[in-house]
Amino acid sequence: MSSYIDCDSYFLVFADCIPTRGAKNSTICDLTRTTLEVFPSSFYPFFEIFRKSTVKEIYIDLELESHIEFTKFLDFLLEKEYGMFVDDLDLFPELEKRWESPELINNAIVDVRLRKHDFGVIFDQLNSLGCVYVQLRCFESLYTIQELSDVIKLAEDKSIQSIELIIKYHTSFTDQDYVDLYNDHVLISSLFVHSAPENKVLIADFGYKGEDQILKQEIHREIHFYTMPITGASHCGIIDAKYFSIGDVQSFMHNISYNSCLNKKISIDEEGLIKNCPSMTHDFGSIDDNILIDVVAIESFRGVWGVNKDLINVCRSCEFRAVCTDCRAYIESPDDFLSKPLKCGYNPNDGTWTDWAEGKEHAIVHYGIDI
Amino acid sequence: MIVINSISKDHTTTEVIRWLIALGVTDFVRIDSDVEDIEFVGYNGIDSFIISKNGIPINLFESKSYWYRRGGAISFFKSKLKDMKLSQDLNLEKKLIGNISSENRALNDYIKQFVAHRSPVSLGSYSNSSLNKLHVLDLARQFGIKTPGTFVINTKKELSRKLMENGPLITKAISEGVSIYNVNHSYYSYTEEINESDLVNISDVFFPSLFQKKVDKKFEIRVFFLGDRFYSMVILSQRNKQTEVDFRKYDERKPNRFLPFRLPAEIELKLAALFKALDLNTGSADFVVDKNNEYFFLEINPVGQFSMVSYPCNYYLEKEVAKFLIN
Ligand code: SF4
Ligand code: SF4
Repeated sequence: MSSYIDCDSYFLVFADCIPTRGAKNSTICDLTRTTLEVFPSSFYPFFEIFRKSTVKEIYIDLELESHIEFTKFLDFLLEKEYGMFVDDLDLFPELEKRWESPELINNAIVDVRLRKHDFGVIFDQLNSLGCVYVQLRCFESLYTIQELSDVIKLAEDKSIQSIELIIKYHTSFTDQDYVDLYNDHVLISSLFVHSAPENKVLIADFGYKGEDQILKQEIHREIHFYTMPITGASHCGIIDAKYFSIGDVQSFMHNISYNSCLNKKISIDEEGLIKNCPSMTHDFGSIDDNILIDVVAIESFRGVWGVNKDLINVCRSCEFRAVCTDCRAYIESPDDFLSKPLKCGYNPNDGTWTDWAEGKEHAIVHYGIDI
Repeated sequence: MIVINSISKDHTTTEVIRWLIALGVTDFVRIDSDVEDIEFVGYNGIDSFIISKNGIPINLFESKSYWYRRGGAISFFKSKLKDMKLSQDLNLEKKLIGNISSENRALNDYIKQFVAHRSPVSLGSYSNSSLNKLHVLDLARQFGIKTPGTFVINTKKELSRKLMENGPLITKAISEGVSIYNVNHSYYSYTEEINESDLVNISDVFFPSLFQKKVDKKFEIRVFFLGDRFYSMVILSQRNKQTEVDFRKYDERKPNRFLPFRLPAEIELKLAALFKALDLNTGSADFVVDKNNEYFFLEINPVGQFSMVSYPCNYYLEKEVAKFLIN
């Protein structure tokens, strides 16, 4: 096997390839190629040594019997193109671990069941907070398509850039009605229809008939129909590798600095109560008697924003914490606010995934979740 | 008041304005040259220079800070002229419209100059918004910055000789390059490599074109300059052939890496002198670094897209620009 033992250069790990140490395994997240690789945590210390010693010096400091392992590790890093040999490390600073955004509130969830909220008021107030994204979840078919369309119109010409719409299937609407709803509103970024008779996908293309592939791709939108009903907020909070967010520097920095779900979020639940998220038991009063900006000013409202994974039990030693989502509404020990998300089946101590519900009867009953 | 010149689709301007608001600024006006919401109201030469946006008057004398981001002349007459008949003589009418257009342009130029001079803080420059690449290369060399060998050639014979002397060349537009869209396609002109094998496809005489000796590059550097600071980014693209000449050709499978970079102090000093000589306090500069760690300057773009440096390097340049405008 070839070795790098005579290499007088430094090994630069690219700034966009960021390692995270876990209890048993560690990960390296390639933010440009959007990949995540797992390796044994015993190799993690090399990432610190790389910034101080040349490759040759590292070999010299290593026990002879570790040489082969180290060579293999370098082979792995080179093969994945996570780094390269350089003479001057100082030219390549790391990414600054920092996240900021100009808006007071980034995203909002509004739930609808039987109460018709005053959306004019809600969107005006979200606008004054600079809110960029809105998720509208309708558990029941309270609104007709026309009424929904009117609701969305109220969000136009505001800070809101996109609305994710989740609605319940209703027999009185045709496929074309759903497509029209999408096509009529550039604000709608995605449309999910739950409780549908079949799983299917409809395409909305905003009437574009040209041939420009790039434009076509940009315009192409899918409407997803699911047979599964979404009966309430308790469906939220699932932790799964498929929701890991890998691939953008800002969201990575956000994840490691703040609570990835709740930072700069505000919600209005189906009763009109203002909360961090609709599934939280604690509320900050009704939207009928309170102004959102006053709620955001309350320190205890913002407290949860700073609860990042470093503060959460178990997650703190998990190699996925930098890319994982979080949930503070459904947690393993309902009376310990810093306990791990309930709906996570991963154990960083032995590196295995199991069904999250196993052995969690107490919490499941506590939250009244039906699985 | 902060005055910003831009165009309506410029996302960077929108981001900077979001930061201005976050930093407590309420008094700003965005002038998009492609939107017809600006009217001329009047200038008295003493204390009142009024334009209006959506009917709301703005006195440019009150501008404390000005950002020329991008955009050309606002048309102050288009809507009014539409139904007006200037003359029955079509030829005369065309000339008259041409005349009004140049009046409009001169007035626009003056408005930008006026605001730039009037405002204690002024970022970017309309009058310098399109530099002459060849002139900038000359200047760069005067400041001791290396540039690749540069030629303007219009015959195949000369091109073939230069290829023999220098090996592969690259060619690019002397001015801005092409970026044209129609319904079905988008056309861009990139920096292209020229080899001996390309000669068969080239006519004996062609339009005078810019050629440069191809640098055996290790990586590319893009530098954003703001006030007195440099924010640099390295582009690692040499691993895939497709992007070797111009990193804007994007490979989805193995995208280039855009990483923070620390430009050597010596290069920064020379580059700062170059920006100063061009009377620019902001802009983007491109370099290539060869296998011997030599830095070759390519060009300066006064209205560079700094978001493409800001996001991958996590520099928050939009916020930095907002802070610059507030100071
Ligand atoms: S805290 Fe949990 S339940 Fe609430 S929005 Fe986030 S993931 Fe969903
Ligand atoms: S342990 Fe925590 S960080 Fe790890 S996967 Fe589960 S929720 Fe995510």
